[in-house]
Formats: sequence, C-alpha cells, structure tokens
Amino acid sequence: MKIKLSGNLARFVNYKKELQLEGDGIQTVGDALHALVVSYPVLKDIIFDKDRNVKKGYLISLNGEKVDAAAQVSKGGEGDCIDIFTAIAGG
Amino acid sequence: MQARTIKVSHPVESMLFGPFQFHAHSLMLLSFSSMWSWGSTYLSVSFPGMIKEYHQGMVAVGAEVEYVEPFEMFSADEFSVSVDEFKVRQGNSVFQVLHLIRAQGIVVARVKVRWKLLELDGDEALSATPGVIRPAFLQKFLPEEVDPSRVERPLLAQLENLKEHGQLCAEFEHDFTLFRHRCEVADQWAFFELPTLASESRESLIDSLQEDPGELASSLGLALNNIYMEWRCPFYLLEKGRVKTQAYRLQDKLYFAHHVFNLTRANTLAAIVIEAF
Repeated sequence: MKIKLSGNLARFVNYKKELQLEGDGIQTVGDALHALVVSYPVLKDIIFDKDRNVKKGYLISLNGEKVDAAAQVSKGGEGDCIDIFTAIAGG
Repeated sequence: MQARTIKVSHPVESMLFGPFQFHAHSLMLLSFSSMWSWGSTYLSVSFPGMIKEYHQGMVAVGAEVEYVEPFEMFSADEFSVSVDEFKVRQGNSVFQVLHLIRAQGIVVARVKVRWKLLELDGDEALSATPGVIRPAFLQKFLPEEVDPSRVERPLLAQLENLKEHGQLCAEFEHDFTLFRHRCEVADQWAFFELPTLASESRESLIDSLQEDPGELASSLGLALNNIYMEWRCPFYLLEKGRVKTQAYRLQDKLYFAHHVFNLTRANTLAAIVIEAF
C-alpha cells in the first residue's frame, strides 16, 4: 500500500514522494494511518486529535476517492493508494 | 474616531515594474507587508504573533488589483502603499483589507484582498481548519472595523459577463509545477504568485500562436486595467498544476480568463484569475 503526504506534511517524512506500508492486519484507512504513525511518530499529534480521530484539517482519499477513516482497504492493501491532503480553502 | 490607516513609503526601482506599470505581484507583496505594519501599529500583533499567541492563520480567498492611473517607472521617484481600510467581515471569518498605492499625491492603484481566517491546532505542521477570529484577537479591533455582512466576489460577475457576452478568441493550457520560490513559509503557494501564473499562461498562449486574427499579441503592449482573483484550494510544493486560459474580446477590450487546476489533487479547481486590458 502506498501513502502520499502533501504540502505541510511532506517535511515530516523527509519529503519522500510515497511511503510504502505493509498491508498485514490493515483493514481500514484508519488502520493504515495508525500504522503510518508507528513508522513516523512525529505525525501522530499532527494527523490525529487527542481522541485519535483524524483532525478536521485533513482530507483522506483512497485511490482518488474521498473517504473517511472507516473506509475498507483492499485485502492486504494490495494496489491501494491513500492520499492525505489539507482541507483548507484558499491560497 | 479617525479611521486607523497606515502609509509605507518605498523608492521606485526597476524590479517592481514591467514596461507599462507595476507588476501585480509587486503591489500584492508590498500590500501584504503594509497589512502587518498596520497590525503591529494598531493591534500590537505581528504575523508570527498571530500564529503563536492567537493560534490563528489566514489564506487569501479573493483579491482585486485595479490600475487607476497610468504610472510607470519614470513617473516618480517614490510611492507609498497604505492600508486604508481593515475590516473583519462575514461573521468574523474574513479580513478584508483595502490598500491604496499613491505617488505624487494621487492614487495610482488599488489592491483589495480578502483573507479567510483559520484556527490552528497548534501543532508543528500548522494544521488548520477554517474558522472565525478568536475573541481575544477580535477585541483589538474597533467596532467600526467589524462588519458581519458577507464579502463581495466581483470575479464571479466578471466571469459570467465574459462567458455570456464575450467573443472567445483562443484557448490554451499551461502546465506547471509549484516550486519553492513560489511558496510561503508552509510550502503553500504564495498568494502574490497567482497573477504571475496567469500572465505566464497568457504569454505562453501568445507565444504559441501561428496566426493571430484576434490580435492577442497586442496585449503585450498594453497596460492592464484590472485583475480579479479567487483562490479555491491549497497548492503545495511540487504539486502539478494546469492553467486553462481563454482569451476574450468584449466591447473592443481584451480579457483573459484563467482557471488553475491542481492536477495532483484530482484536478481540483484551485483558483480563477481574470485579466482585463
């Protein structure tokens, strides 16, 4: 499974264009994001609020479709791509 | 009470100008700087202070640049950029700031910018959600500087008028990547770069023409009268974009309408610009 972080998040993963995540045990987008912050702990307090929900300031897409954290990924995350975008409007 | 205004003087120098007038991005950058001179003077709030003390940010959502009088590099030795009006609008969710550019006692250009307020989460990434001004920050404004009514969006009427009555002369697509020299501190596009993306696409269109029955190349020899801008979504470092430019003639005047799409973000419409010659 691939995860792409845009914009203000990119610097926290050393500007890697894509992150590869092993899909074992990952059933939902939320599972994938929690696995991501295990590899990149600095992202934990940035992506998640204190109740461990994705902050309102971020949008998640799975294979180009906007989803929420409960969205199911493919078995093993094979071929899936999760994008995390900032949700604000304007420039 | 007298309106709280501020005026900042600058020397005239060549980098601020094209052949016929101020670059729009020069005026927008200097206007933004004057906005924070105003903030420091009247609110005792700097830009970093707004973020650190009030956990508040902002993004541009609309702007107009109006060239009021002919003014080029040899017209004067100095000019000033003012904040003539600073209002908290639209249910305390938008800053609207009017800047006047003056030289030799006359107004040569106007810049009006609307900034959507953001509430920051306080994390290192400056994660934010659209919001309203926090009460402690709002207290620093005078009652007459707070106007709850909705802001105007003049671009929409201009665009509708062009589509309905204008004669479409040419279309063009200009692809770009957002590099850091066009970004602000959070690696998001700097608001004053939007007119440069629009003019780049217009000049690329003109450069691509084999024939020019609409005499679009003539725009290179003209001063702009107005630029209307709206921002719709963020654009970040290394994201890919496409400017779709349409040239129109309407009542013997040239107009260029530019729609900027963020290709990285599923082709989302990121901004619209209209240049009126």
